[in-house]
This record gives sequence, structure tokens and C-alpha cells, in this order.
Amino acid sequence: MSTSRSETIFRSDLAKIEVRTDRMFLWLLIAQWIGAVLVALIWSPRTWIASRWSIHQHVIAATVLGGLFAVYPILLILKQPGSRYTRHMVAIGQMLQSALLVHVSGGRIETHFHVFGSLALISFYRDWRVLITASVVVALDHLALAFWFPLAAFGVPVVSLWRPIEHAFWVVFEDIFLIMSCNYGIRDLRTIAERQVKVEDMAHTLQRTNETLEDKVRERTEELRGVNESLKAYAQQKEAINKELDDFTYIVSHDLKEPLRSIDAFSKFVVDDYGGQLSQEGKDMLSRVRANVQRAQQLIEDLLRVSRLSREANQLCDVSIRQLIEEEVKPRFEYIMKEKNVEIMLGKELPTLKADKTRLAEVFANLISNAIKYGNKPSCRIEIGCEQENGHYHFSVRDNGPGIEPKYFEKIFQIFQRLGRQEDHEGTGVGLTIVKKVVEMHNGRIWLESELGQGTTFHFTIQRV
Amino acid sequence: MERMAWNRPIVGMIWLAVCLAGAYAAMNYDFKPGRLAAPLASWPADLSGLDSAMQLERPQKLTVIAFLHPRCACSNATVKQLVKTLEVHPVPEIIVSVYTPLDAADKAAWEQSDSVKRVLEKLPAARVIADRDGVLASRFGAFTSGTLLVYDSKGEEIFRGGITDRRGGEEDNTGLRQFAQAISKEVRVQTEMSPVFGCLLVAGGSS
Repeated sequence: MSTSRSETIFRSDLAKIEVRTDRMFLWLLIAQWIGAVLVALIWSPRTWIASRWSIHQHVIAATVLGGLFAVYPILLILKQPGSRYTRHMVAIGQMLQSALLVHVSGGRIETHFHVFGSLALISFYRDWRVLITASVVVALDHLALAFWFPLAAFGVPVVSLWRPIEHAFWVVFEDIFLIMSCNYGIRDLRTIAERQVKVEDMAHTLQRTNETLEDKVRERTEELRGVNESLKAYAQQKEAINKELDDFTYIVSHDLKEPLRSIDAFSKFVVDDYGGQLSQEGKDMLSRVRANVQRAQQLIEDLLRVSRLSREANQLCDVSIRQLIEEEVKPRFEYIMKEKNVEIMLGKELPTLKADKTRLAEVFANLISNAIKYGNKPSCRIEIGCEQENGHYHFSVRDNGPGIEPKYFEKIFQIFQRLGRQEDHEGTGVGLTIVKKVVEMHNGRIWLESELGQGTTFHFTIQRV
Repeated sequence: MERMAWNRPIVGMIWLAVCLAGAYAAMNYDFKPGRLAAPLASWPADLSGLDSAMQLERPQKLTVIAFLHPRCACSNATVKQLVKTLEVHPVPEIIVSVYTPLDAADKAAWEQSDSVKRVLEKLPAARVIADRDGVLASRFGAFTSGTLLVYDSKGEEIFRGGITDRRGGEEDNTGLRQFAQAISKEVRVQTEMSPVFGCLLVAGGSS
């Protein structure tokens, strides 16, 4: 199939070259005809008989013979461009034009180069047979001149047969290279045609691949759209469930507060009113009841705090972080900072940004509180810094505490999860949960870096608004 | 496969035959020499009726007489061949007879054509004679432009003919070689007159 296609392309290209060369000869034959007439007019315009003149025979020969040599090939080019017969006739006409030019120039040796030039032009057809036709015309011309007009071609009145053979040799000499050139040209044309077929095949394959790819992309896009829709639905569902859960948490927590308060109050009444009648063991048991009730109340209070974060949205306002820490966060730890020798270092680049001021204060308060609470060095050092990155602020809170094992990196953000025993450190384990929620409400994220004995750095981002 | 109309080769052959016939006719014209009279037995005695300017004495020394038509395209070739040979083999007397119509209004233009100027430039000693209506050429039997005559010191004709091989031809040829031998050795080497190619100096000659 490909061979047939390349053959078709080769034939088509060759036909174009043949027609193009025919056109070139059309203009060349006309130009040579006019040129021969002009040369004759310039070199020998008139012939004289005493004082009377007439048009010189050379002018007549150039006009009549030149036209005769050119007109038939010209007609063939116009009527049948690209045909084999046409190019053979063109070759004959062109070589006759060479003979005419030599004749009207008075046999100048320089004009013989027209013969060699013509052969080169004829080789444009890339058809070695046409070169043979042209060369035969040259050979016959020289043979005829040697026989009838030896002076014209050889400059002597009588020549041997070897002279035209010698002249023909030089034509054959040129023909050898021109024929080689023709064959190379044909071979190149075939190669080009074969390459074109390969390129077309590759383009076709590429097009099919593209179409397949486009289909696949379309299919995947549809799939992704479906997945996206599912995810949206899932997110909406999750949001609804979360809301229901928050509502449930809020209601349950709120409703639990009252019975706990009653238990605590009645426990207190029992201790106050009947304490004297109770044994020491009874008093201790009531004291434990009250402590657990108070802890349950604290847990419920913390649950409500977390739940409130989702339920209540505050307005964003401009918040200077430095001012926030200095004026609203630090005062909360004034006493303990002195007691535990705590130093809070603020970075130079702390920005002013749009945020929920109250909740952002909670974030810093919780992180500072944890650092102080778990600090195990004689002096506790806390560094707070910030860098502006693409579209968000990147805060870091570093302490010189005991550090956290990597296995707790995720767990510590879960509600009521805490490090160490409850007796060692007060609190319910809700602080970092609140921090995470506040950060996420500001379209940020929180993570930490820590090494045991080397301290901990909490990182969180806040989206720029 | 390309199909050829049956009549195309016939038309092509007819065309080729006409072309060859035309070419043969053109070549035949080029190589057909002009009319040339037989060598004169002696110096033309009857020059008495001519103008004094055309009077020529029987040569006492080696003399070349060239008959030229100043407007013939082929004269240039003859002059080039003549000058080239005389530069190698100088002769004491050179006479150039230039055809001039008797009734020509612009005689100077005829007498000082390019070919005559070339002779005078290269051969300043040459004597140029205006040949009124080709009378002088007729007396010497030189009917075609490009005819050269050579006389020895005894006044005997030792060369008659042309020194080009065809109209406007400038190649080496038999006539040129015979002319060179005649002026260098002062002997007749011609067995037959060399052909002359050029325009006619006298009406009635063959062109």
C-alpha cells in the first residue's frame, strides 16, 4: 500500500518537474528566437549589391529558421505539457537553436558552449532518454556539417570522419555526468516520496493517537466530574452530619450541666449539713464525687467551647499580632511567667492581618500555655515568629521544652488527648483541638516539629485576606 | 502509460525535415562564394578613362590590392585577416579600393567606414582609393567585396581570391595560407583561386 502511494507521489512530483521544465523551455525558446534575430541584426543586418542593400540572409535565417525551430516545441508545450513526446521535441528544437546561434554568430567558437549549456538545461527533465535525443541531434549536425560544410564546424575544407566523432566524444563526456545527475535526481525524488509517505503515516498515527487521547481525556474528565460531584455531595453530607453532631454535642452538654450542677450542690449540702454524722471514709468518697463532678463540668464546658467555634462566627478585623500577644495574651500568664521564669520572644516581622481577634488570641494562649505547662527547664523560653509566604502568613511558636515523640504528632490535636498523666498537668486536652479548629477556620493548617529533649515548634498558617 | 497520437510522429518528422532543409539552405548561402573573374594575363591597360584618383601604375614592387565594400558585414573579417597577415609579412605597397556610389551624398561616410579606419589604423602606409561605382573593381575582375590581388615586383599577378572561409569567417583557411605564402615568398602557389565571401561590388555578380 505504502509502495503504491510513494510511487504515486513520485510520479506526481516528477510530472510537476517535467511541466515546470517545459515552461522554462517555453520562455527560453522564445527568448532564443528573439536573441538570434537581434544578434543577426547587430552583426549582419544588411547585404549589399554595389549601392543597393537588402536584408541580410542571416536576419532572414534567424527569423524564419529560429521561428521554425521554436514554434513546434512551443505548440507542444502549450498543448501537451509534461508529455514525453513534448520533451523530446523540445530537446530537438533546443539543439537546433544552438546550431542556428552558431550559424548566425558566424561560427564563433564561443557560441558552441550553447550546446553544452543546452544539454545541462535539458537534464532538468531528469529523463536521460531526452539527453540521448539531444545528443543525437548534435552528433548528426556535426556529421552533416563535416560532410557538406566542414568549414562551418571544423574550420578546414575537408575533414576525416574522426573529427565529428571527436566532437561527439565531448558531448558524450558531458552526457555521462548529466545522465548520472538525472538518475541521482530520480533516486532523490523516490526517497523524498517514500519519506513523505512515512511522514504522512506518522501524522495519521499521531492524529489517531490524539483522537484516542482526547477520548480518554474526555472520559477521565467525565469520571472526575462524577467523583467531584460525589465528593461535593459527601462534603455536604459530612457538613450536615457535623452540624447535627455539633448541635447534639451542644444540646447534650448543655443539658448535662444542670444535673451535674445539682449533684455537686447536693453533695456539698450533704458534706455541710451531715458531715458530722459521716465517717472519714464517707467524707472522702463525697469529696471524690464532687471532684469528679467538677471535672465532668469542666469537660462539658470545654466541649461547649469547641462546639461554639463551629456554631458562632465572629467578624474579621485588623489584628496586630504583636499588640494582641502583648496586651491580651501575655497578661493571662503574668503570674506563672514570673514563677516559672518564662521568657516570650517576639519576632520582628509580626504582621497586622485580618482575622477573628478573640479566637486568634486563643490560639497563641493555648500554645504558650502548653509550652509553659510542659516546660521542664529552669527557665522556659518561647519564640514567636512569622514569615509571609505565597498567599498566607506562616507563624511558628518554638519552646525549649522536653519535646514530643513523633507518634503523638497527629494524636495531640484530637479532643481530650493529652500527654502525660492527668495528675502531673492540669487540663482536659481540648486546647490543641481548639487551636486546630481556629487555624482551619482561617483557611490554614497546623503541624509541628519536635525532637525529644530539644523542644517543640508549632507551625500554623493563616490565609491572607 | 503515455499514449501517443498516431499522427504526432509524422508531424514531428515533417517539422524536422523542414528545419533541416531550412538549415541546409542557410548554410549553403553562407558557404557560396561570390563571383570571381579569372586571373588577368597582365596589368589592366585600359585605366585611362578613370578619374586620376583611381589611376594605378603597373607595380614595380610587391603590391597588395584589397577590394572592399565598406558596408558589407563580411569586410571586417577580411580586414582582420589582412591586417593580421601583413603584420607578420609586411609588403611595400598596400592599396585598398573602397566601393563608393557615384551619386552618394555622404561619400565621406562610405570612404571612412569602420573597416577602412581599421586598415589605416593598423597599416598607416596603405593607400585608400575611392572606387566610384566599382569601376576599378570591375576592371580588375574583382566583383566581390573581400577580393585580394597580389602583384610581384614585375607586375605579375601571383594571388587572386579571398582570405575568409565563409561570410564573416575568421578561422585559418587555405586562401589565407596561400595569400601569406604569396606575399612572403613573392611566388604564385595557387592552383585555383580561393573563394571570396562578401557583398557584391558590381551589380550582376552572384551574391
